[in-house]
Formats: sequence, structure tokens, C-alpha cells
Amino acid sequence: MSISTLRFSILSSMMAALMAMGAYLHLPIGPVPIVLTNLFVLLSGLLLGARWGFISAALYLLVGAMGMPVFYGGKGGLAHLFGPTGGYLFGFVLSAGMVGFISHRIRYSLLGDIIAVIIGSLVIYAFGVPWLKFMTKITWGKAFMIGMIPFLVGDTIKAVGSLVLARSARPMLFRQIG
Amino acid sequence: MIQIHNLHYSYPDGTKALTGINLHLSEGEFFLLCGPNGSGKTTLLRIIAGLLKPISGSILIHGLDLFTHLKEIRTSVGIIFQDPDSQIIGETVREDISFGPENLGLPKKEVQERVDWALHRMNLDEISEKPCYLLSSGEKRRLTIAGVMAMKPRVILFDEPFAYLDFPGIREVLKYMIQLHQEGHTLIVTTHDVEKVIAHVDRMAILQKGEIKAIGPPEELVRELSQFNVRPPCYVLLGKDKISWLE
Amino acid sequence: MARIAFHYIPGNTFLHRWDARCKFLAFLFIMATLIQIKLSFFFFYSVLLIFLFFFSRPPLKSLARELKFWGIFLSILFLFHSFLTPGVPLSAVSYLSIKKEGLLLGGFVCWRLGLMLGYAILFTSVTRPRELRDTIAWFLKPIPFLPDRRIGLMVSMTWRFFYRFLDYKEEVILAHEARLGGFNRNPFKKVKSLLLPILKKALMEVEEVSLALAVRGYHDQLPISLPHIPFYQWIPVFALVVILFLLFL
Repeated sequence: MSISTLRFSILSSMMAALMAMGAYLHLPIGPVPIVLTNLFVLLSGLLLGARWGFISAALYLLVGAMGMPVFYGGKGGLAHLFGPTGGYLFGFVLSAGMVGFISHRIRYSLLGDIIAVIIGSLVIYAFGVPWLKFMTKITWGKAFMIGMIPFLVGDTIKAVGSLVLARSARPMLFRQIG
Repeated sequence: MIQIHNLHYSYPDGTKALTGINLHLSEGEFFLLCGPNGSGKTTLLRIIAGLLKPISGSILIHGLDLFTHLKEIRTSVGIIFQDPDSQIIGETVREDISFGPENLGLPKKEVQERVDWALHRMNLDEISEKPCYLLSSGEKRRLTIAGVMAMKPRVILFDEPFAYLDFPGIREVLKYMIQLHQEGHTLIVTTHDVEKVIAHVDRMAILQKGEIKAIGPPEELVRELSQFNVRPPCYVLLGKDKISWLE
Repeated sequence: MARIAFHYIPGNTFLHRWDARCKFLAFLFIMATLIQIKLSFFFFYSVLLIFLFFFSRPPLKSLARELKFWGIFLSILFLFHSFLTPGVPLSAVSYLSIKKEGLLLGGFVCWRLGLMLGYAILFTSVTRPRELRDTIAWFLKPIPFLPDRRIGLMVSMTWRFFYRFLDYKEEVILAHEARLGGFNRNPFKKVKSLLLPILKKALMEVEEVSLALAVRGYHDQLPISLPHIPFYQWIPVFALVVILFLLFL
């Protein structure tokens, strides 16, 4: 096993751990408490690329599914993963992969990164909102009102935050992985 | 025996770290590599341990080429990092020491024997079941040495082994290094603070900006240290004979 | 300051010796059934948790000190639920719009979370990360094409980084406050000044840990040799399932 594969495995573990820690960090903005998990989801795509970004978010889900308290508000367990808000969690996995794919394709230009995080944030809702609607049997309008609108302000801040972090951390990362 | 010939290394971002290193160490030598921060000491050690791949140049360890015999080299060369916290992998002392021998694929019984031996060797028997995060800095340093010892290497590399340690801690590590040297291990120690170890080494080299500026026995080099931004030991400044930290 | 929660605490109790695979299954089962808001389950689990904590003898004093952090976390959640759940406001404190439903729901949610955290702390305190790693690899082994051993390593690494980040976060916040960072109202600046140090430290640690693994010869091909599970190890799992079934009726 090459050092490079080993390094990426450990990097994905680290990003998954940051996602877990993000569930305990609150930003006091807007009407709802905003946790930082999805900031780190976007960041893992931006830093690790499609394949390892995808793996790190999947790893986060696995650790949560095992019952460790790493989901929003310190929850964990398989039941939670398949509960009403499980769609967002599965959205994370695809989002991280998507962000990594786009930002790598556009060669880490600022514009490419911006497009990547916007699409990445929307992918999370593309899973989360329909899942919420069908699990709780509410109308589409209500699903959007509960499951998307209140978070948009926070999401903008988090998307910008992930961009800022990725752009300052990349030189350091590239020094290591080349 | 370690032979390094015309070694060059740059970081992936293009920063040059080592330029044209030539170095020959004989079996069982206690070697000191000193230089200011950022001079390339850690990079050179990591290359010798087979962790970084140089751009050009060759390294032979015990007659084997480093890059074609990576697995043999990694077992015969042990390295102790500057920060013990990142090197400790297990949750308890015993578990951490057994990590290396397990990876060698040894049978359970031999792993057990080696762990017991390393525990005893580094005087850790009493705390073998203690969780690692509760250890003192001195105990952590001893644990990292034990973890390397359990793999029975012939060459041991120490990267700033005295960092984070108090006076008794430094003396203890020094005592173990001298013991290892007497048993015939080849030791390479890097430090920016030569004071603590210079009285015991056979030879030393001064590294600056990725180049070896001087090499030879400590008596010859000790007066040139300050021009390379390395603080000479006190006894030189006071004009006295060499003093060991163990006295 | 070393924290205790989520660390392995060595010992030689029944819970420490119990086969990690059975322990893990029981833990999964408890976590999965806690999602049901059912009073009898909650009572049973609370009593069981207290009993098991007593049994595994963790350093209760240091744990209690850390519970302060979780206490604050749970009370914020409780308040959040009491204010925002729809229902009939309680007459005595009507101007605060606290409702009976909100209090009940908030209470249940916090109770459940407390139980989940309690069991997670208990499970990690009696299971070595290495056992966890091997257990995961063992469960994944029947699935083809999965690098079971590596996934096991990655899970136990994630867990290690997680509790170290929780420690480190507190330190960064303190350093931030010491330079009056608390007065800065700009959320972008706040995110950057709090998270960048954590991220940079994390990246450095990743580099060191992966080199440390490489230098000690880590590789995926090592076979996992876990002993056969004796029947008596399964008894607690069966007992748990039976009790839960009886409570459910």
C-alpha cells in the first residue's frame, strides 16, 4: 500500500471527524441554530476531490450509523439515518463527491469552486427535501418551508466559509500530497 | 552502513529542501545532524526512513537500495518523530507497542514477547495498561522509542528527541540513546540545540539551507557552529572541556 | 487538560471482557430502539445505563466535570423545543409562549439525547479502538470487494480525530477570546479565525499520522484472526432483545 493511498485514507478520516465535530459547533445567525457539518462536507470535496470526498462523507455516515453521536445535535444510529432527516445525510455523500468532481474539472479556479459549492449545496436539498416530504407525508410547499427556506442564509455563509477555508488550506495540502 | 550520494529533494510545491547531500555513515555510529530551523534536517531523516521519495540521488542502507527494498528498509530503520502525540497510534501503552510487530505479520506469541521485552527495556512495565493520553511527556517519548524498538531495527533515527522534555526527561532519553549505541545500533540524531548530546556523539554534520556545510568529529566543528546559526554548547562559550548532561 | 468522554478507559470488568462484536451489536440495537419515544423503553434504558456505569467503574469525578458541557448543550435544545413547538400556551407564563407540548417534547428529546450520549460514552470507554477496528472489519468481511481492514482503520481514525478535535476546539476558542475575537461580529471572519487553526493543525496531524503508520509497516493484507464467539457471550444480547420485546407488548 503506497503512502499516498494511506495519506488519503487518513485525510478522509480527518474530514469525516471534522463533519462530526461540526455537529457540535453552532453559528448564532438567523432563526434556527446552524451547525457546521455541511460546511465540512463542501470542504472535503474541495480539498480531497471527487473520490476521496465521497469516501469521507460516506465514512461520516458509517460512523453515525454505528450509533456514535455525530449527527446533528449529538444524535446517532441507523434509525436516525433512515428517519425524516436522513435524506440530507445521504445528500452529503453525493454533494461531497459532486463538489470534488466540479472543482477538480475546472482546475481549482475561483469560479469553478464557486459553481461547485453552489451545486453541492443544492444537491443536499435535492435529497433532503423530497425525502422529508415522503417520510412525513406533508405537502411540497410545507416541505420547502420547513426543510429548506430557513437554512438558506446560513448555507450562503457556510458555502463562502468553505471556499475561504479551502483556498487558504490548499497550498499546505498540496505541499504534502503534490 | 548508510551511503547517501548526491541527494536532491524538493517539496511538491517546488520549494527546494535538500541540494546535493553526500553522507557516509559506518555501522554502529552515533551521528549528530544539526542546523537551524528549516535547514532540512527532518526532511533528510524522513528520506532515510523511506517516507519521502527524493528527486534524484541514491541511498544504500546495509548495501540495499532504499527504493527497491522499501519493506526491508522500513523494518531495519526506525524513526522517532518530534511530536510523540502524532506517533502514538494505540490507546494504551501495550497496544501501541504491539502495532509494529503485528504489521510485520509475526505470530501472536512472538508479538507478545517482543512487546514485553520493549516494555521492560524502556522501563514501562508498570504502566503497560495506562491510556496513552494520560502519560507525561517523558513517558510518551519512552513509549515512542519502545514502539520502534519492538520492530528490532538496526538504525534508529531521532528527530529533535529532546523537544518538550524537562531536565530529568532529557537525561533519561540520553541515557537510553547511549545504551542503544553501546549495543551496536546506528543512531542519527537531529537537533538545533547541540548542547545536550554533543559530548556523546562520534561525528556530526552541520546542515544549512539544504546543504551539508561541514562534517567531522565534534571537537573540530564545535567552534564553527555559531557561524551557521547553531548555538555552541556552554562549555565552548566558557572555554572549558566538554561536559556531558549526564554528569 | 485531557478529557475523558469518548476515550477508552482500561479496566477489567465484565463490560471490558465482553466480546467486542456482541457488545457492538447490543449497542447498535439500543441506539436503534431509542428512536421510539416510548416511556417504558426510556425508563428501562436509564436504569440499565446507571447500573452499567456503576459496573464499569469509570472515573466518575472527571466525567461529571465534563458533563457540564453536555448539560449546556442539552438545555439549549430543551429551551429551543419548549419555545418553538406549536400547542396551547401554559396560562401562568403565557407571555413567554411556553406550551405544555413543547415542554413534554423538549423533555423527551433531551432525555433521549442524554441516553444516547451516555451509551456512546459507555461503549467507547470499555472498547479498545483496536477491537472496534477489528469488529468493523469482521462485520464487513462477508461483503465482497470492500477493503474491510482499511475501513476499520478509517473508522477508528475518524473516532480518534473526533475526540481530539473536540478538545482542540475548546483551546482555539480560548485563544480566540484571549485576543478579543469575541467582539468581532462578522460571521465570515469568525468562521475563518475559528476553523482555520483547527483545519491547519488537522492537516499537519494527518501527515504525521500517515507517516507514523507507514513507518511501522501498516498494510491492508494482514488477515484478521478473531476467535470464535462462545455462546455465553451472546446471552446478554438475547436478554436485551427479549426484555425490549416484553416491554413493547
